[in-house]
Amino acid sequence: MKRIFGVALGILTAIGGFVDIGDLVTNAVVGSRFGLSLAWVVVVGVIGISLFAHMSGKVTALSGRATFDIIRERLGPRAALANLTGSLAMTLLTLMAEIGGVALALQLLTGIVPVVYILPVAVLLWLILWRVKFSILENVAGLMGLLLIAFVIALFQLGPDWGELGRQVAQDLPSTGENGLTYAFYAVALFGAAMTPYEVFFFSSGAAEDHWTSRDLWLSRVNVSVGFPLGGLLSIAIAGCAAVVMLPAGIGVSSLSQVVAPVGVALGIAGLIVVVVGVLAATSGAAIETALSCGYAIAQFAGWPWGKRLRPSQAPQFHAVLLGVIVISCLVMLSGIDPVVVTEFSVVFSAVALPLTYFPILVVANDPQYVGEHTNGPILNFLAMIYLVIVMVAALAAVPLMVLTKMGA
Amino acid sequence: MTDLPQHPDRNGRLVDANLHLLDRQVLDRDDRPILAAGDLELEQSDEGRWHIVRVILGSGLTARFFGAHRPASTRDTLDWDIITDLGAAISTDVDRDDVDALWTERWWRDHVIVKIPGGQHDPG
Amino acid sequence: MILGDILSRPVECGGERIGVVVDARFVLRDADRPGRAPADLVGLLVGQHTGMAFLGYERSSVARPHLLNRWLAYRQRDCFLVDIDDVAHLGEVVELRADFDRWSPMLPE
Repeated sequence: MKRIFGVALGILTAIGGFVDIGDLVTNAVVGSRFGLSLAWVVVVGVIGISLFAHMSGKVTALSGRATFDIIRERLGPRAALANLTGSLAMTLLTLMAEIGGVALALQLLTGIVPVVYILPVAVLLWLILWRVKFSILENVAGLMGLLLIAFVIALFQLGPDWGELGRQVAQDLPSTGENGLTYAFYAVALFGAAMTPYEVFFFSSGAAEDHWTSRDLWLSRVNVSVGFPLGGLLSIAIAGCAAVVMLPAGIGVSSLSQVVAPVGVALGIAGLIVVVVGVLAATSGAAIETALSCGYAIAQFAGWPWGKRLRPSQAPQFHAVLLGVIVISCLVMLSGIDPVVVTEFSVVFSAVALPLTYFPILVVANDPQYVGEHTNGPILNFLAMIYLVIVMVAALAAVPLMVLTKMGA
Repeated sequence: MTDLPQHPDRNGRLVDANLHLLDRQVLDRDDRPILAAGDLELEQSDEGRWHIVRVILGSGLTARFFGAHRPASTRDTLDWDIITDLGAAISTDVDRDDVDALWTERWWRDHVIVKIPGGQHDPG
Repeated sequence: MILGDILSRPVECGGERIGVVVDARFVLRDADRPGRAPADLVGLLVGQHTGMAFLGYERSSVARPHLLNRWLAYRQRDCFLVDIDDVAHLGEVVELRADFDRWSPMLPE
């Protein structure tokens, strides 16, 4: 019974944890401009992150070595440092976006401008990381994020023309005057939002924090194959709501209030409050994950002790990094920069940084020295190699598309 | 390339520095981390055979970037004879509390972390 | 001698460029407890590119993913092992004896 509870918890946290400010904003923007014609990107992204997270969880559980430890070993310190810098910059940017997202959600609940909330949120975030146990963090944020199911309920409640939505899924470009370049740009952005690298550092380091062994691998497979796809469905629902409410009215999405507005339309004020609490939980959870991921990345690269399971005095540099990245993020966000803009940059750079960590993990998942007899089977390798190509194409196309379309304007 | 003959000296386990030793995590006797193996120090025996005498700790980045090594007396090293296993990480027989190379970690612990309330408590 | 100084050094024989040092092979006399006996330098691995040599596909039995493995093996196709006794001089350039032997770079399983 306790086993089933543990599995259920894992799946639920994977669903709630999957959606962060990047998914919320990008899916809503895409839905309001392209309808569901980019829904296939979410599917591609979910499969990709499932593969990536599973391989990296497997490697950590079986070898006891976490992601950046392995990257340093396989690539040598110079290439690994370049890798670390890129991945860290992207994760830090995402942390800023999530802190901003928490502040935006608080604005929706209280009406007070977000910049007022930045410092309290940062302080609270640090306190939580300083004192609260890892398992509690994981579970509370993940479960409350499930409130985002309000998007799914809202979509049904809106009584959309399912035929029309189905048609959008199948077609390439909507008739709303968007061109191929912006379509491609948003495909890359949506891909970066779904397949966020920090999610994988967190997942594999979390495997070490929870002391996973080979006996827990099946749990990884379940979490990943059930949790992430359901999280992907949530993303599509967010886009669907925007497609039903915003697209026909020609309203673009550029603020969090517009992201959640369709839920208010469908379910009234009660639904709106529920979904905003869900956004608050999801972004808070993501802020915790991204901050920890920064700490994991640097400490694992340097060979320092790391982890929430240790006392701060046993992992001093890890905690110094956590404090440092929160301070930096807080200072940047105090400038009053729009968190939605920061979010849009973070998803594009996620796509750019993805191959840096994907490639070494793919290599190591095939190496018996790390995974013993659990090397990738031929099917997994086949899919993983296809994704290596997808990930590289997205990474190379991201910045040029961003420049050519002026951030998808 | 694959038609070349196998080298005759196989009296023991063969390891390659880049593949199996360099940049690996070093662990103490309780599997706690002690930095990474950045480089290796070799010495020649009286018969002229080179062998590994010390593992140089740290990422080796400063040396590789600035092109020069720190003087031998200041390098953070571990003697070869304390190594107990070479696998995904390098396992050793020392207690990390006895390793001088971890002085930066101790600095952060003593000057920053313990000064903040709760720094020495178990989480949660 | 610091090993890192030797790695990536150019390798020549009689003025002709052979390649670069991509790795160094050691033999652990006591496989159960490596530290108990000296780790003797057997030889140097010479290849054409230092780039991806550390992935080591061309030397081990890791066979998958196939495409990646084949591309990396192709890049290191001329990689071979040189016995340390065939090294005449370890300096800015690693000088090999004129009659040096080329040995297989494969690590026995």
